Amino acid sequence: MNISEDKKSSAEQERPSFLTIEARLGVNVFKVDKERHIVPKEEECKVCTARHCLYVCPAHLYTLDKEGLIAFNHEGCLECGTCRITCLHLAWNFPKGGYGVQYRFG
Amino acid sequence: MEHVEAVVVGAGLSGLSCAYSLANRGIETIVLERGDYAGAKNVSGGRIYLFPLSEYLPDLWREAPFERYITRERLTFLSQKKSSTFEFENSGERQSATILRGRFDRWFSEVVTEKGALIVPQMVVEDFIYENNEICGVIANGDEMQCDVIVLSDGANSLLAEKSGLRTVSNPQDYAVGIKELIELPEKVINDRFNVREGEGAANLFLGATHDVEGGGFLYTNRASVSLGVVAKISSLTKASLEFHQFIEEFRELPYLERLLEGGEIAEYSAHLIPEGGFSSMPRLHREHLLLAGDAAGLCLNMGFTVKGMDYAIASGVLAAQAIWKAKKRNDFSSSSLSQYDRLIGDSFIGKDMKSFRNMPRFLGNERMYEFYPHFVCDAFESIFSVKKEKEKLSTSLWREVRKLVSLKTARDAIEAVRFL
Repeated sequence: MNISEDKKSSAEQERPSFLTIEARLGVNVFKVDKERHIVPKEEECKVCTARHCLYVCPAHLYTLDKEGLIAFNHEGCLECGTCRITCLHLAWNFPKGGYGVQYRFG
Repeated sequence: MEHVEAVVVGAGLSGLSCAYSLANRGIETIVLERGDYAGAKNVSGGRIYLFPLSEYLPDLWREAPFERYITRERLTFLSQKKSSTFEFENSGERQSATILRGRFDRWFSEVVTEKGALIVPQMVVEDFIYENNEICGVIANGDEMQCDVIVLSDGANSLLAEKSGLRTVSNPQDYAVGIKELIELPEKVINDRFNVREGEGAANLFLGATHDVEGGGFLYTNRASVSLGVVAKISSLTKASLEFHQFIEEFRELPYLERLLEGGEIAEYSAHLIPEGGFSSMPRLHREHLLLAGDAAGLCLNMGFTVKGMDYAIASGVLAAQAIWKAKKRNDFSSSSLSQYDRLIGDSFIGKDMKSFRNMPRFLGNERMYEFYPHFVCDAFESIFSVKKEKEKLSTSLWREVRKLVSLKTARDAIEAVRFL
């Protein structure tokens, strides 16, 4: 499948059909805006113990940084709104007109 | 300031159906779509039920670019590497079809444009404009536009429906999320692997693919691709020990699927929210100068083995246009004038479905459906078919499996199933 082989870890190389989330997002068409359309409220993230965002996001855009804080990357957002439903501490908006994911198949 | 009669927000199935019906009655209509084209932001699992549409724009669907008509239904219970599949074939009747919204919605938008509605892409509607506390228009990409009536058909994440006060901030209990991989395979290979003729297709649903998370898997055949997906209730997903994006990879690697998908190339990865709170979480669908349609109105239903939403979207769009047409004749777009829309929905198959299946969310909330029962089915078949050293009597092995099944809880499940289904 169209995925850069060097990105796969050794465990994944033994699973020939396995696709990393980066590889899956890589086949999509995105028009990325510099501005983030979703902004987590950092103060709330620091005290949050649930951290559901790490598990529910279909694009795995919420991760933990080296300091153990929630990091969010809006590039690759599928605009599903799962985080909006899960977390009350987000300033959640759609990307500006013409930006974001452009599904060809849907 | 610009003024139009009707502004439709979102070029999905409900918005396009509404715009088509409005333009057909000579009502001046603008559709504002935030994507580059109709369909750019739209995702569906991939199956639409056709029978309910026979009363809503029936002539249109004859030329519609459906992928394949479903003639083969499969239900698969999974238990790690084991699977048991039940199959039903009906080649005689075209009940449902697979659909890819990128292709379908672009076709639909062309039809709507020909009818005379204007579809403007790359437009995000940010807010309403008000006059004497009454909604009288929208702000899109920073510009104001006045209108007599607005139809919110902007999907499951309708921020505008919340702003309008018709919907409250969403509850994870009322939503599921689906992820989908679009995997390209040659048409002939699909025909062979799924045992279908040209133009015919298979729909395969899976239970036991989601650990004990409330949800399931699906595999639909398109013309020259398949849609592979996993759906999970959001409130249930927050208790999972696996990241959601990994569910679909784990699912795809099961032996049953690996062979069906062999050689396929992934062409798109998508995700979409599914409002499935059912009847009890349905909002009021109107206020002055404003109607909600499709997913934005929460018109979606999970009936267990069938999930419906696209037929409701189309029907609600058509009914919204009917209500607007009558309001226009009275020259009255007040809340009481538009309240007719809620009655039209309630009397249609949408309202009837929603009422009949009002207890479905509770029934589907039973976690034994997602792990315990699928495993039981597989274990029972294994005990029938496997031969290890000495073959024990069939009754002995079956009895051992059945003993695992019988408990107070499963007895209660059986009673609930009879009551709800």
